[in-house]
Amino acid sequence: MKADISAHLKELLELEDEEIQEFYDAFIKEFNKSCEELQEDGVDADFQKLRIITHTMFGYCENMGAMDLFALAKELNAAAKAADTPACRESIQKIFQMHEAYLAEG
Amino acid sequence: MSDVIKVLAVDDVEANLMIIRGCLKGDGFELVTCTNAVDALQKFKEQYFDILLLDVIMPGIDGFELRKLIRATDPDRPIIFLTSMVEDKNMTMLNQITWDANTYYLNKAVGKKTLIQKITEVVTTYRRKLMEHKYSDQLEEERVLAGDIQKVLLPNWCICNDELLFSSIYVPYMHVSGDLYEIIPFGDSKYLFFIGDISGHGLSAALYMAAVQSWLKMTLRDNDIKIHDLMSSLNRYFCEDLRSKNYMTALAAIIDFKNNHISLHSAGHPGLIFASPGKKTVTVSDTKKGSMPLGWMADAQYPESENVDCDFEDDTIFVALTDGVLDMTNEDGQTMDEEDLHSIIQFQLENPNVVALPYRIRGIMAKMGFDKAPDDFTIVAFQKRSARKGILERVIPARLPEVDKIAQEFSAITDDLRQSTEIDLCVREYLNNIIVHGSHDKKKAPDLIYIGIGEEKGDLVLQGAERGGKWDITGSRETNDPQLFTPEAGEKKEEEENLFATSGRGIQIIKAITQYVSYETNSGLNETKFVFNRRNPES
Repeated sequence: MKADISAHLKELLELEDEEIQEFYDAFIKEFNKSCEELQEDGVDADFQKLRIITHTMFGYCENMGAMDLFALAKELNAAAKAADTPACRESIQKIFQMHEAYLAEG
Repeated sequence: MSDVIKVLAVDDVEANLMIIRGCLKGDGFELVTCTNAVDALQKFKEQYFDILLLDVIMPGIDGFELRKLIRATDPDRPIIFLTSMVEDKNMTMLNQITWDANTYYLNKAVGKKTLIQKITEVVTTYRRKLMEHKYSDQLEEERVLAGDIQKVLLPNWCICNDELLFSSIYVPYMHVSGDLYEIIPFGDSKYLFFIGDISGHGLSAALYMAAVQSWLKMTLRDNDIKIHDLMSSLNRYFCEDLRSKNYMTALAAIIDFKNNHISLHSAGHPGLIFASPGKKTVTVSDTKKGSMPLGWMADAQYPESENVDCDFEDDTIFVALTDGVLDMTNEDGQTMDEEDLHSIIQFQLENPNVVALPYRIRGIMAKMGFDKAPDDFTIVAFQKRSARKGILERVIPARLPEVDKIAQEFSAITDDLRQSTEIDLCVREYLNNIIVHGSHDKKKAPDLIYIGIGEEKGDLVLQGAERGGKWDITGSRETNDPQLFTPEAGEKKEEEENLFATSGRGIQIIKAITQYVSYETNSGLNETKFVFNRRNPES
C-alpha cells in the first residue's frame, strides 16, 4: 500500500518524504483511470481490452512499487488470457476493493 | 556535441514519465517527455535527441509504429523500449523489439542506476559511431581531393606537340593511386619517359607519387643525365629523403626523337612495348635486363649494364603499362597473358590510332571479360610525330574560343574552296557540339579534345577524340539513314535535347558533306570519325 510505494520510491529515486506525495497522487490518478475503464466495460469487457488495461497497470504498478496491485492485475491478465469470465469478474472486484483501500490511505 | 544526453521519453501514462523524470533528474540529462506518438514525432523533428525511451503499448500510434516512423528518416538513433511485457516471456514481442540493431529494451521497473547506466552506455556507443562516420566521411573527402590533385599532377591524357603524340588512360583503384607517369622534354628533341607503380593505393602512395614527380622535374635540369644514374639517385631519394616504407617499380627511358634512339632502365617494372605497323610487337627489357624496385635498398646500384639501348623506327608506337593492367581478372579470377596483350596491340596496328590505343586496349580487355580491377590501371602510348606525315592534328582545351582557331587552321589545308568550306563546317559542328553538349553537365564535360585531319585510303578523314559524355552524332530521329550510324544509339533519347544545340542544322550539314560518320566509345573515350565525300576533280 502507500507505505510500500513510499519505500520503493525512496529506494528507486532517492526521494525525500515531501516529494513522495506527488508521485503517489500520480499513481492514484492512473489507478482511478484504470478503474474507470474496468467499470465502463465491467463484466462485458472483451478479453483483449482487459489485457491492454492490465498491461498499463503492470507498468505503473511496477514503477511505483505497488506490487499488491501488480499481483491483482497479473491475475486479471491471466483470466483474460484464459477467456475465463467468472475469474475476470472476481479479479475486477478485488481491484475495486483495493482501489477503495488506496483511496482511504490518501 | 555536448556531454549532456538529450532524452525523449514517450509514455501515455504520466506516472511512468514521472518515474523517468525522477531517474534522470540532475546533471547529465536533458529530458523531454510526450504522452503520445504524434507529439513525440513533432519534437523529434524539431530537436536533436541522443536517445528515445518508448513505451510499447500506447493508444493510437503504438511504440513499434512510432519506431517505424522514426526509422524512415533515422536508421541509427538509439531507442530503448521500456516495457513490463518482457516479463511475460513473450518472444514475439522480444523479437519485434530487437530486430532493429539500434533498439534495446529494459523492464519498466528497472531502477535508476540501471536506466542511467544503459542510457549512458548506448549513447556513448552511438556518439562514437557518429564520430567514426564523420571521420571516415572526412577521410573519404580527402581521398577524393587527393585523387583530383593527382590527376592534375599527371600530364594531360593527350599531348600533341611538334615531336610526339601521347595518350594515356589512368584509372585509380580507389580514387587515389600509386601509379604515375611523366613525359618531360629536356631539350634537343629528347624526352624523359617515366612510368612507376608505388606499392599501395592509399594517401601515402599518392604523396610519394607527387614527391617523385616533382623530383623528376627538378632532376631533369641536368640534360646530360644517364638513365641508370637517374634510377640510382631516385632510389636514394626514395629511401633516404622520403624514408619510404613503400617501394616502387619503375621504368624510365630517355628517348631521342632526333636520332630515333631510346635508352631505358627497368626497376622491376613491366617492359616497354614497341609496336610498328607490319611488324610483330615486342617487349623491350622484360626479364633479360633490369634492376630491383626502387626503395628496397638505399645503397643499391642501378648499373649501366642493365640499361637497354636501342634504335626505333619512325612509326614505332611505344606502349607502357603498370602491373594493374596484367592483374585485371575475369569472373573466374584469371588474369590475362602478356601474349594476349600483345595480340590486342598487334590487332590495333591494322588501323593504328595512338590517341585511342590505351582506351581500346582496356575496352577489348573488358570485352574479353578481364574487367575486374584489383589495382590501379595505367596504359600510355606515344609515337614520334614525324611518323604522322600528312596529318594535321591538335589537342585543344574544350572551350568555344578554340573552335574558330581550329576551324580556320584546318580549313586552310586545301585550296579547294568548296572542300575548305566543308572542313570548316564539319570542324565547327563537331567541336561546338562536343563543347556545348558537355557544358550542360560539368561532370560530362570533356577536358581536352583531340582533333586531326588527313588522308586515309584516298579519303579525307576528320577524327576527334574526347572524354566527355556520350553524344549521338546522328542528332535526330533519322538514325535509320544508312550513311549515318551510331553504335551508341541506345543512349540517343537521353541526349537528344542537347544535340547540335548551336545550330540545330548540324546533322543536315554533316549528312550533305560526308560519306559517313562513325562514333564509338571505349572506356570513356569517345571517338568520332567523319569521312568526307570524295571530290570530283572536275567540279
